[in-house]
Amino acid sequence: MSTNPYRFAEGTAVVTGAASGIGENLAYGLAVRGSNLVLLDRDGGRLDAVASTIRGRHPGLSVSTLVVDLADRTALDAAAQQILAEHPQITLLVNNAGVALGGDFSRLTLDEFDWVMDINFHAPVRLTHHLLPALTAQPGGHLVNVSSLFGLIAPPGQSAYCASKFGIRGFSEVLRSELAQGGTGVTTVHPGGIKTRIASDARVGVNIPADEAEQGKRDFAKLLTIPPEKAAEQIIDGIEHRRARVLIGMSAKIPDVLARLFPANSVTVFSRLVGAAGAAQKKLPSGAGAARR
Amino acid sequence: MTTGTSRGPLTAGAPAPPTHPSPPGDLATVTVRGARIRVRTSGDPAAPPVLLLHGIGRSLEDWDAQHERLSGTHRVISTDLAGFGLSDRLPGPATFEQLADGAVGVLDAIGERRPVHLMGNSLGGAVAMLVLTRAPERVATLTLVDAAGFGSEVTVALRVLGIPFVGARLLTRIDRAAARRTERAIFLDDAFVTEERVSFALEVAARADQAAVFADIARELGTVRGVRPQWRAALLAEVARRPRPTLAVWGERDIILPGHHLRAALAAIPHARSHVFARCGHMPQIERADAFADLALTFLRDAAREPNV
Repeated sequence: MSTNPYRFAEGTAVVTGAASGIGENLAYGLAVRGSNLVLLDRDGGRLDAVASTIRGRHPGLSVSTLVVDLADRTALDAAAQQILAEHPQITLLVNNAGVALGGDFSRLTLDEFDWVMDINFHAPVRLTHHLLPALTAQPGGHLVNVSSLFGLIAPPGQSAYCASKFGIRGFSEVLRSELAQGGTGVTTVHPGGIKTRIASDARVGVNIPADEAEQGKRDFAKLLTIPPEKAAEQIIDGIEHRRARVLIGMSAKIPDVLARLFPANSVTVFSRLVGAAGAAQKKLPSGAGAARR
Repeated sequence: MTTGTSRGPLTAGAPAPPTHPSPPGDLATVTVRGARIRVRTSGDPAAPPVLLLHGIGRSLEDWDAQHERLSGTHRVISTDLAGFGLSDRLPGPATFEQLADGAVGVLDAIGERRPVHLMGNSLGGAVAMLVLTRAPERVATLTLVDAAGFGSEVTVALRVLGIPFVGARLLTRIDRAAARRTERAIFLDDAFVTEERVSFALEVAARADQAAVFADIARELGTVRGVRPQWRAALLAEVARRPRPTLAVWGERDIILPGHHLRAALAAIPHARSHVFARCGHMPQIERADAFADLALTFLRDAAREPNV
């Protein structure tokens, strides 16, 4: 494995989902370190705003944008060809874009399931496949795949999301070994609860009642406590030091340990722990409870 | 072309000439409070003025490559900080304030009364910020190049020189090998460490004023633990009160002042624009002279269009 730190300055970084959340903050952090940027998102308006902010702050950088819906394979393939034509050398690819979908598997349609798999799993695989020649043209490049807390543990109601995030984790960990010889690093990121738009933007299965869906979104959103700029800084640190895995937030670190100790029922153990902690906190005098936060 | 070595550029291609054989313009000596101080001027005297300040233990020659590149559109002025280079020290103890006032004194001496585009490398960056706080009407924009003032980490060599008596003694004993080591620490690419550069560094180091001022300033700059936080905090607070269009740049491979100080600079001066140069040590204005000039000229052009930061 490459022991050299990743060099950001004057490299070219491709970031998906760059119009908001972790991707947007990754773009800012990479620009501060001198990386030229190719930013992808389906939301052209927000993406333009991010790009012009960066151009204003860093007049020496090249910042280009591509508006593409990663669920559309044809559009994604075309975007990849355009990136290759304009940037024969890429030093960093961050597969960050992701979507969420709530609801029990029994009530999901296959179209809904496929939508999550297309964006969270097939799109990063396709983009990586297309850009790999440019990424590995010289040693020193780096690939980041953003998995999830739910790429470590598998709670009910997250069948599509977990399938996609476990899948991308496996893909990413294999590539880490395969690309090491050529001097390209790979980092798999498991965010646990970053305050982004993923919960509010989550699609709801057509068969899921609205009130249940809202409750699901609220539960998901409760987990999101870490500001995305902090998550982006941790990912950038992981890239610089070529870390295999970046776990962000205690809500990712504790389940990671549990998933190793209790591979089959880590979710049960985790929810018992969380339940016990919550119950314990409720029994504390109010002053002590407030002091914890 | 080799790979796997820790030094040297990653891409092939001849580096820019390490020193400009004869930079454009005139080298003159002016008198400031009785001290003889060197100043180089180039470009149309009517063009917008740029003042270039070097780092600790250095000289105006650190900006030679930029005279050539900036003087097409600007009046370019580089000067020795008082007591450094081949110039005299000012009367009284050497302090940061004295260096800043000396630079303004040079502008007075050459009759340059307009606000200048101030660019400072290393300690010269801190001096540039100090000029802004002491004579704000003389400063149009700030360009900070691997500038001191944004963090405590500094090369151990400078920390040792800040130790009372020890530093002064060490500074009187600089030999050719020590001078070469310093140049090698400044540049990433050893092609810039020419015999000519080492010889000139020795000539500068041999001057009595230079050793004494160097020791005083190194002590003011910091202690053996690093750059002192007190003057940094006070200076940055003062700079924030007088916002100017600001460009902060760094060489990614700087081992004198580490690159993460740039993030601190952007936190202290949130409106600043920034850039990081790849394959570059402590002096981008020399090691990446063309890229630096392109960026600086773009910044100055934009600042002229929108003067309100």
